[in-house]
Amino acid sequence: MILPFNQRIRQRLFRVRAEDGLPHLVSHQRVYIVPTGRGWAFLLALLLMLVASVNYALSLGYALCFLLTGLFAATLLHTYRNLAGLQIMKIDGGQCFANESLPFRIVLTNHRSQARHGLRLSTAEARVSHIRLEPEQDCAVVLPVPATQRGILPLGRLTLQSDWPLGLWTCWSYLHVATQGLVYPSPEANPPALPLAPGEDADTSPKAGLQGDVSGLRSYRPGDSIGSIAWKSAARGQGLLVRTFDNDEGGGNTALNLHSTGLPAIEQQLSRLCAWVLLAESRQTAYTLQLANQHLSAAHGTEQRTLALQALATYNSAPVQPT
Amino acid sequence: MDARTLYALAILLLLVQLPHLLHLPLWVSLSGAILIGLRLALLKNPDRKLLGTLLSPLSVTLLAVVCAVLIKVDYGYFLGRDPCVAFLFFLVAAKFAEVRQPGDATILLCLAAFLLLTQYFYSQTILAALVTLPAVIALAHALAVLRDPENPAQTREQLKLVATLLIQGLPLAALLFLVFPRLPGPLWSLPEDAAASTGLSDSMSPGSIGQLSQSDAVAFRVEFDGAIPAPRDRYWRGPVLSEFDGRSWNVSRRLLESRTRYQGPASDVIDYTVTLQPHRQRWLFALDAAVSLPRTDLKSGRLSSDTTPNPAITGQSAPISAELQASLSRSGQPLGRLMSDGQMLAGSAVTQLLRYRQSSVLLDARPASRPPPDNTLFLPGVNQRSKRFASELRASVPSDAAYAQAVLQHFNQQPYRYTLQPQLLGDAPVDEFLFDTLAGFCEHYAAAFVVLMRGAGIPARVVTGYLGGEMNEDYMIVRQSDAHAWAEAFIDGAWKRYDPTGAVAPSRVEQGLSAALPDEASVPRLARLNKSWLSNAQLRWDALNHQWQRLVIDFDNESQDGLWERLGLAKPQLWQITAIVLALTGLWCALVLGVPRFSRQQAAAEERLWAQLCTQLRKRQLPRAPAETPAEYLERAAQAWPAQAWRLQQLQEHFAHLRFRILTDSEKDRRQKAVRQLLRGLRWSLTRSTRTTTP
Repeated sequence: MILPFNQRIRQRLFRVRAEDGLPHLVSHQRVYIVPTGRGWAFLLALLLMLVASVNYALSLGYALCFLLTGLFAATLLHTYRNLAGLQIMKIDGGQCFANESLPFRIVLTNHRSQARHGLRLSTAEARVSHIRLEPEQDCAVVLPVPATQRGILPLGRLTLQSDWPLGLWTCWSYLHVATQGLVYPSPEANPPALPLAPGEDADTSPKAGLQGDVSGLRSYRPGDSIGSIAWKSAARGQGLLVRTFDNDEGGGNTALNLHSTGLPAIEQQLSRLCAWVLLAESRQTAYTLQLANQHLSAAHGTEQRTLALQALATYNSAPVQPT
Repeated sequence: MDARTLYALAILLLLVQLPHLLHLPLWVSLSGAILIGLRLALLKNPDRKLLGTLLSPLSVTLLAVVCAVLIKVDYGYFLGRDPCVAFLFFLVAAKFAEVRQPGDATILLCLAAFLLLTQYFYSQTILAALVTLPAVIALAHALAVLRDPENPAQTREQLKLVATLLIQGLPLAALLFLVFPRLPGPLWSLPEDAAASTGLSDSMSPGSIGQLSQSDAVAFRVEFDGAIPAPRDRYWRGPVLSEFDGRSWNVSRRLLESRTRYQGPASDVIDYTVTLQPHRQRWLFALDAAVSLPRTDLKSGRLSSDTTPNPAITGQSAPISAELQASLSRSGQPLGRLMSDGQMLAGSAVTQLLRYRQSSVLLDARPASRPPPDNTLFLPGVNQRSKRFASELRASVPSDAAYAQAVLQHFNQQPYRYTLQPQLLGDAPVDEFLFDTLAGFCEHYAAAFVVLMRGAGIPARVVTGYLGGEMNEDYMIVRQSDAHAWAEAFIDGAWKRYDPTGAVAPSRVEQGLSAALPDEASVPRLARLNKSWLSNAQLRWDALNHQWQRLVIDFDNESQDGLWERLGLAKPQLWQITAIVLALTGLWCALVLGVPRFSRQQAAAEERLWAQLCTQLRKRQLPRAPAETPAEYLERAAQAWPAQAWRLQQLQEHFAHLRFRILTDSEKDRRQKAVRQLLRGLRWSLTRSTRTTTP
């Protein structure tokens, strides 16, 4: 795909799109460096000192100015060297509930035989400062990004910045990888009791026939019986879907779906469902989850919890990509 | 502001302010130190309400205003170099007292850096340069602390870092110092700068006037009402020095006012107006001999109100204090008094531009109304050789006047030299000058003449002042470089002026300093030193200082041209200089960043070791077959020498790692070292095994 010139420049300068891969080595071409505010003030003072030296023909004044200029220049090189050559090995996106912080775990490697000091990792919303990398070692940094709404949270453009050693220069590099984290809906505080599915059809066994209670459709997985495929849907061009059936025996079957919440707004519904999932998990109760195009059969445990929360997080949004 | 930052800043300020204590008024130094102390006290006890209020931004600003007013009162003016430095000194301490935010600290650091520079206004000696270094380190350290106050890094670690940065910056600094073009002349000049710190003082020792003569600063300007006196008559009388302690000359402590009035013809009187630059002393200058008291210029009343004053005279000058003028003219009192030894003293130190009317008669002998005071005959115990010489010479001539002429002839006929850079003199300076060095500036000749007079029992004294002055359009400028010293001897009931300098260098009297010393600067000082002097540590220090002055302080455009010439680049073009600077800067960057390690070179190290191994095995009749992998080759070798199998195995593993893995530097070093050791072991055991098996 060939982009317009100005977009290519923007990408080159500001890394607006996630096109970088991991592991990523911070090369000299990707390091930007400018004086800080204090650096500019220092330069201004140097200029004034130079003017005074010229005016009064102070040889030692010149010498002092140039000594400080040398210091300023040496600081430039050290600031640059502190960042260049750093390697970002991998970035893992985590999960969290909405209105919490989503931890991104970033692994940095310092190949140099000198330590790197005072690094700062930041995105538009979050930052971690005072990172010190010991010589020839890895270091894992957790960047907590505030998550305000449920769904997929891309890390976005990561900025590695440092003004070590004297704070006269600031030097940074952008890294934009496609790493993302998952934000579950914020669980409702004090949710009502878990809804129980109607138990009158308890004798209907799903294995008894394919005419049992169809509780939902899910996408075809290899190994599903051909008889359970919803051919009508397939004929409508909706792809291979499989009918699922209530296979819980007896009452006490917790069936979670949007209707059972009895709330009008979708986010509130998801929020309550989330709270119920957590509640069910804490009570070790098996539950089913029925969303528009997803159905989880009754179970409980870590896997079920993850799947359920994932389904709630990505409801009506882009599917989860493996990270 | 946390304690760590504050202490770093306090140390910086201490080091920056230290050199200034030498020249600042005591109250400024003290108040600066007290403010810093108070801030540190507040840091220890943050609960003290009173202290907190005192060091709040508002009250500190008030303090600064008060200080500015006090400085104006103390110095007499504010917009000059010295009061501005004093104010900056106070301002730095005040800023420290109220520093709260990192931004405040930035301003403080910049002010401190500038204050560090201003010490060179007063001294550019080696010592001054050495004092700067700790301050620069403290400045960089303060920056490092300020960058990250919570940084757990140790102070030692940070100082090491800062020292590294400074040392690495040094080559670039040296390069800039050598090639940065030196712009000629001042870009501007603050009104009071010119003569604020230079001028004649109340004492004279060998070298003091010579030093003064190196300043181009204006001493005063003169407008003559009528004819302008000839150059050799332009003796401007200043401090008269009668007290002698064997080395230096001082103003007599007991001074009486002169009561004589001029009685001669009015046609000889020269009337003129002097515009005196503030020199912070009490002397007023007049052509020798003054016949009136200095009085307020009648025209000066107009001067302060006139919208178009003479720009040539007042253009660069501070406005005359109208109040002072008004009060003086109202009271009708003269601006100063005329003393019996002929010097004129103002009521207080002249700290502002002063204009006065003066009348003089050109006389080289002034009748004395009183007998000469005892101190004009006093000679301390030193300078015995001069005393002997004086009494012998006096005995050979009939009269005092003839004796004075004989002394002048002695100066004229013996190989005396007139130089701005005489050798340093010891405890009996007059003896050494008269009989050993024979080289001196006007103060040496005047002092020697007076000593010889007193040695022969003739009352005599040294007169300092200015000789000369150049006309600029319709007025005369007298500069510090015209500073001069001459002698007066009491002969035949009158004080007669003798200028021994004129006997040695007549052109000094007739045409001025530069005519008398056409190529003084080109005489290398060290060439005149002989070996016995080099043993003298004091002279060595002097020589070192002289070199410092010549190489560092006086480094200018000419020195730069000389530098290029020595490099074989006579008058290089700007682009050539730029190219050289850029190339050297690039080299510097590469050196500081560390020469990049090329992976090819590193591979070469492993390949060399592998080649060594192959050579070794080939020598033992086991050459590597074509297309044989290293692993296969070493396996074959292990079969040939089963005892060495473990070594070969290890070697194979190391080589595999070195070649095919990305290793850290230390790991690489470790493995290479192990390979070398294994190779040595292999060689030794193979040699031994062949030796044992061959027989």
